Amino acid sequence: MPDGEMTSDLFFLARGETKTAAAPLFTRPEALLVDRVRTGDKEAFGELYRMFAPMVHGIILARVPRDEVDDIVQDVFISAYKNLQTLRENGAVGGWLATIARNQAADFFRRVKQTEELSENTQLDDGSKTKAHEILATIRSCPDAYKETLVLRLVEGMTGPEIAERTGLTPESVRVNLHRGMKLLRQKLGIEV
Amino acid sequence: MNDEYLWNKTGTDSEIEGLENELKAFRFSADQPPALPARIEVLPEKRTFNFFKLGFAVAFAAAVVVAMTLIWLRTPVNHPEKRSEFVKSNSENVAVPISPGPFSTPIMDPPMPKPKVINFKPPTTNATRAVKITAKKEEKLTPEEKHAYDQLMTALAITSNELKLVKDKINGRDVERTAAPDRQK
Repeated sequence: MPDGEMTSDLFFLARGETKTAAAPLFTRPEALLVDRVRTGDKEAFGELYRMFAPMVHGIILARVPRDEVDDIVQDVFISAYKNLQTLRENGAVGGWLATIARNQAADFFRRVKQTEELSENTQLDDGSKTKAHEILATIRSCPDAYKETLVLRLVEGMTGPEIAERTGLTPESVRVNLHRGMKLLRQKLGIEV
Repeated sequence: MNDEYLWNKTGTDSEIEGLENELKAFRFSADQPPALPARIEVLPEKRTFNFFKLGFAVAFAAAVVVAMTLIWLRTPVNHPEKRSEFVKSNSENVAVPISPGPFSTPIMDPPMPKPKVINFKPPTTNATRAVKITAKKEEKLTPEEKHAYDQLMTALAITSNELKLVKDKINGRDVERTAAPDRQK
């Protein structure tokens, strides 16, 4: 069940909670930033954006065509800014943003489906046949839990602990997803283990 | 594959490094946050009062009332028409006087008391027939009550005997009875 860990974590994140308990949620730097944003501090929002934008970008890149990613990232942060009053725990802002990003990606496919039938090319292939695009397409063909973690690690350059901290997943889940996802990617790319 | 490099980038792994270099082109680069709206309209909180729930509650209460009324009307002792039929059908078998009280009895009537069973023993002598009623209350009678009770029973027995004589006379049996003493004489 490759998606099991993802769904269980999403269950908690939907309530604005997180499973990482390395530090109290309210003492985290992002919690203080959220406090400032709540008072209307737009500079704090900029810092929050720089802290979490790579994570949001990676989550969306793992799902939607590359041309659409930047617009959806913007939409995620604007939506978060507008709905900040619905965030219960300031320290859980990472998981909350990740959930918004996943929902926005799902909304994108819903919108596209209403106007035109989706083809495989729209979903996975960006029209280019370079090696980088092939690798990205292969990662996107993996299960959700794996492709998200692999993109954050290989594309965004985040370490495992950083991924866990930003997304609100447990380090154990991230480690398992990374290991299994990498193994699957090697198989798909034809790299011998 | 170097798991530690995959996890926290310690050590080296040429294969993963190669993938990182290939995919670096897709990495997030924009540092500028999106232009935020100058003013955010705070949406009013959703009303907690739900008309649908209220309607459902009212409908449920009405259904309960209707159901209780139907049950009450279907009970024979409560329905005015069925009550008379019920009383009539039961009065044929049970010789218990039913109080014709007003139709204001509560919904749950107490169970009807069982009729007292009166056993008539056959007369011990021809002259007087002693009738004894076996009732539990008899044991609790005081001596005066016991005396009155015995006298009443004796009077009843005599009356009964007299009535029987009258009845026999009417039926023509008096001839035999009257004839018998004559023959004895």
